[in-house]
Amino acid sequence: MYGLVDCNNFFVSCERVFSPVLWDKPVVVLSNNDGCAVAISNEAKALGIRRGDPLFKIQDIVDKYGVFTLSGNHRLYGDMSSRVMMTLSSIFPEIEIYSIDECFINLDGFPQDKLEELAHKAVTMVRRHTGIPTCFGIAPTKTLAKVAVKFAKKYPGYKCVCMIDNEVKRLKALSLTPISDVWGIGRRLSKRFDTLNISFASGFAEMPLKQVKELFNLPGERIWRELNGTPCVEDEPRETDRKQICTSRSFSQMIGEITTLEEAVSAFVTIASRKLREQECFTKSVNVFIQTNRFRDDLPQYYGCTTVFFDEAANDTMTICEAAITGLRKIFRKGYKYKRAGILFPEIIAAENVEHSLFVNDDNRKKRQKVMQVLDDINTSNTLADSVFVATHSPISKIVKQTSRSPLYSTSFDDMIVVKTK
Amino acid sequence: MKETTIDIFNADTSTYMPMPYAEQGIQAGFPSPAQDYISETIDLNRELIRHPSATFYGRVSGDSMIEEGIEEGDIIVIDRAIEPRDGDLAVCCVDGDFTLKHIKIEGDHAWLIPANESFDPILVTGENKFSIWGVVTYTIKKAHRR
Repeated sequence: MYGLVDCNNFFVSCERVFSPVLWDKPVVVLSNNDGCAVAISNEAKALGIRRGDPLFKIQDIVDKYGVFTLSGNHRLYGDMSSRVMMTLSSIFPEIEIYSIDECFINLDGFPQDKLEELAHKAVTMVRRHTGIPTCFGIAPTKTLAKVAVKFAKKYPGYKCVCMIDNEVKRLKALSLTPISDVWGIGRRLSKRFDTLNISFASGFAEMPLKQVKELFNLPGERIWRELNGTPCVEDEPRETDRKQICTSRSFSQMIGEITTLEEAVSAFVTIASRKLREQECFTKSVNVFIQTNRFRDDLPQYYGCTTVFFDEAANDTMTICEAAITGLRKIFRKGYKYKRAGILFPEIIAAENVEHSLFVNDDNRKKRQKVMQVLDDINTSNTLADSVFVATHSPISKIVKQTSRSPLYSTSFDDMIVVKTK
Repeated sequence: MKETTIDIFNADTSTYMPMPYAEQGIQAGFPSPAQDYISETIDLNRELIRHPSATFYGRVSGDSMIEEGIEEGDIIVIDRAIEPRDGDLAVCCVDGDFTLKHIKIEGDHAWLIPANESFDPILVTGENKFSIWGVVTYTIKKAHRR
């Protein structure tokens, strides 16, 4: 069985933890560039505000009802996300971060009749420890877990936990789920279903496999299998559904040395940032995580996770690598044997949406772009060029230029000055 | 007289700041290599923070807890993972504000007890928007004032 934990109105919930005055008020968090609503509290939704609404369009409602409008504080959200994930990983040994506010949980090995109870415990614990309200979906596949969590959010009767664990529940849930709400069904597939006159997930799931194979390609067939209870989505997020890019691996041998982890993390960044450039996208931050071997009860267990933000969205291996290594060094704890590590770009944006920072030197930016261009051109089919960064044993700071970002001395505990005691 | 309120900050426990700990004292004369006498380090993050993902810092403002030695500017370590008990020092939310008080639970209501004669205990009933935000585990005071 799979679990999916989804934070409720995540950005708004983060703000509410630190401002009790916002608890039962209508709240909207705005995007920093174009002033659109990116997160909306239930109270604001009830006033008719929707995700993506530009501020000028909702200004009347905001003024009339005293809606609190806040600019995004993405460093705060990143930290709160790490806390939620760390809390969950203290209960569940195998979690897969899917986005800043969602993670999948492998529930294999937990007794089936205890899953709901465990999920309630997790929701309560995350709420208590971090202040963030969440919902928990449980189902035999990730796609069905996504369906389940929507029910948990929509109907208070579920008390934040919805489990699809038999045929009756599965069919009922699919008959109430619009096909366009199904995970992985993009705009193109939605149109396809329109022409087939299918509006609910059940209509697709009940189609005979033969017909599915005739009408759809492999990704479509996978969704059909998942809806019918056969897991076939791998750990990595799908190409078609990328809000973020994640690269993570389990190691063949457990790793205790930070230098080895640094090499692994550099390799992940190399792979993932190339994907970014292929899609002509940039990332605003990089999330790094390391995990010990959950199957070794005899060894101490640890899960570390942090997010490092860029002054200006980046897609070059050097900048991202440097940030990822900084993050890794922060979360690394000596004395543990690490089995898994990975990096995630939680929020990727298209090139045209990148805001240039005043503090990033234009020449450096151009130089970096040129280097990446050359590297990508040398050999796009094999990883020879990538190995420039991967195989190096020299400290990353020696091959990477410092970016000109100044520390946030006064606003961030991360950047507090370090006083040497020597 | 000012009500004691608190600004809340996130605690970053991911950093690692080892303080050298000299086990046998540092001897004058023949210095041994550093590795020989630094046998352990003390990391306050690890000693003082039991639940890193549930721990936040707050800065105290006001003087309603002054008789207990908690003053303006002190830093408090708040652990949300600890189940609040009668008598705990806790960060409470009352009607949209943070306040630092001892909690006294009596059936269906609670008292928030200050440590300053000039302040009265606050009665909290079902009428109030109230929650206990987190239990305070340590207070950190700056001793060196220069």
